[in-house]
Amino acid sequence: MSWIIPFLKIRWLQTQRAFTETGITGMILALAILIGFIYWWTEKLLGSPAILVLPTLALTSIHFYRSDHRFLHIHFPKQKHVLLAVEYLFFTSPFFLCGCYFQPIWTSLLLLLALLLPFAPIISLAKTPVKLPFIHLIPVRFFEWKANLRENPWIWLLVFLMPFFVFVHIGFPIASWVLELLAISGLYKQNEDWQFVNLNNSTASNFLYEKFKLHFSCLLLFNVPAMVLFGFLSPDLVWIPLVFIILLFFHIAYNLVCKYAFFEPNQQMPPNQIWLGIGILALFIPPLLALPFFMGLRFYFRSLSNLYPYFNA
Amino acid sequence: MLKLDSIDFSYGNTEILKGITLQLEAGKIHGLAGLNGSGKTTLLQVIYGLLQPQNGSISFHDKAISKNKTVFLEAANYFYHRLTTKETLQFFAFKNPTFEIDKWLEIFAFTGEEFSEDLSTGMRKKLGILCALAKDQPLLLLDEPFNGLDMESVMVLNAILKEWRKRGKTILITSHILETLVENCDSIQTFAGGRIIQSYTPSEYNQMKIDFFVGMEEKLEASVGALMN
Repeated sequence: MSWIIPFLKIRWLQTQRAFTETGITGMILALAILIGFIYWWTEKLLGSPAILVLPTLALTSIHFYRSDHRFLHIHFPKQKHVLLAVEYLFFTSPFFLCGCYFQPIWTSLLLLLALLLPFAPIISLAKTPVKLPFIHLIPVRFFEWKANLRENPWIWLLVFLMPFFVFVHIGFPIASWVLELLAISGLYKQNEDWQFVNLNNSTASNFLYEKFKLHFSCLLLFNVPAMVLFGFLSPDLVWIPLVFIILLFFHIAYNLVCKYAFFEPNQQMPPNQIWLGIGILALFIPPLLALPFFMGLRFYFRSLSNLYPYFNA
Repeated sequence: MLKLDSIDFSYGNTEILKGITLQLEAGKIHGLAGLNGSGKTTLLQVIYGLLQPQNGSISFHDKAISKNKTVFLEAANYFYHRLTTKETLQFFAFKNPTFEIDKWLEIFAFTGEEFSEDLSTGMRKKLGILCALAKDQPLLLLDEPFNGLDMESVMVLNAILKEWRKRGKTILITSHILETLVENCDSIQTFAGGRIIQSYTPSEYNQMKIDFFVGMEEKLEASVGALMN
């Protein structure tokens, strides 16, 4: 057990570094806005001490995304998951205890689980890439989709097939689109080499425009059949797939600008992950949608300047 | 002609490149030789435009260097995870439909099914070389292209370099493997302390190299032996 103290010291240093990398000013601003929204929203719905939720979320997510899996894998291969679980419990315990004081335990547990939502996309189910028979049909320009399909084939299979069970119950397609919102962030958890970025485009804005086009078209191909079927079977509820497709477009655009605003070639788990987490959370708390919208605009311009060295002046 | 005129580059207060002036003939292979940390890689990054020099200008055929018409093979090669070697090459050959992906993969002993994250350093280098081939541009900046290659792959790369020269490509290579520079280059620039020291023909460079290393091995063995005792 002598490794615990040095290990915790290293983790503390990593957390401090994560704050610096993510941009502490932006982080504090975002937190303030988030706390305001959540406080207003949860007070109305749950009467919970929501002010504790956000610091816990921020600390946990930063810690989780800075967890440096390679470091853990090399030095603590057997204890890795236990360590992550212990850290999660440690950071969430203040919230949980306060939650138990102010409200029923089940509500606290529910919110505790909800805090895990932003981390869902980074969980990869397949440790080695799965060889899929149809994968060669996907053009290599959609390399993020190809790679993620190999990494999480079962999630994407569920996302694709579940909407067709609309015959059984209307909840299936809705659950599938919620799952898709979570799964999409997984496409952006690894940065490609800069040589992938400047191959076919002459300017950063052109590159981003082409990326939007490619990813939007992929999204449409993936979702339109099920959405049309849904609209055909439930014409009075046609607004549901429309809302989801708008949310999916918005989510992809936010994820893209968030990725390239913090782009550093070949980086795995880059510091933008906390912003992706906030983006996901915002999709499930409608008043928060304004935050990724404005941050998305900011990240777009930041992407342009961040990508500038890889393109012709 | 690739022209560099009084290039200065610093990281903060640390000067890396000091007044580099070079005129390299187009359609030839030019070598850059120097010790570790002498600034060779930084010079290639400045030429390509990944780093902006504080002073000086760079031109190729009297125009600013276009990243779309230049290939930069870095010393460390990274590719997107969960993509196979064939898919990676397909991505880079997107604008070069005549590039025969399967045949090139076979020449470097790839099956095409290897995932990029499973490749060794040498295999990454080979895939990087193939990507450079697929891009097919008139100016090539190759940073340590021979590092990590097995004997057979070195011979393949030598043949590729000869073919590139025949096709009029302008190539700038850095390498620690001095024999490869002597064998492939039309001119070799020695580089130290962020400055170009001297320009040699391969035969002059070979002679200089022999003179430089005479007696050095014995001296180093003696110093290391003394330290380890």
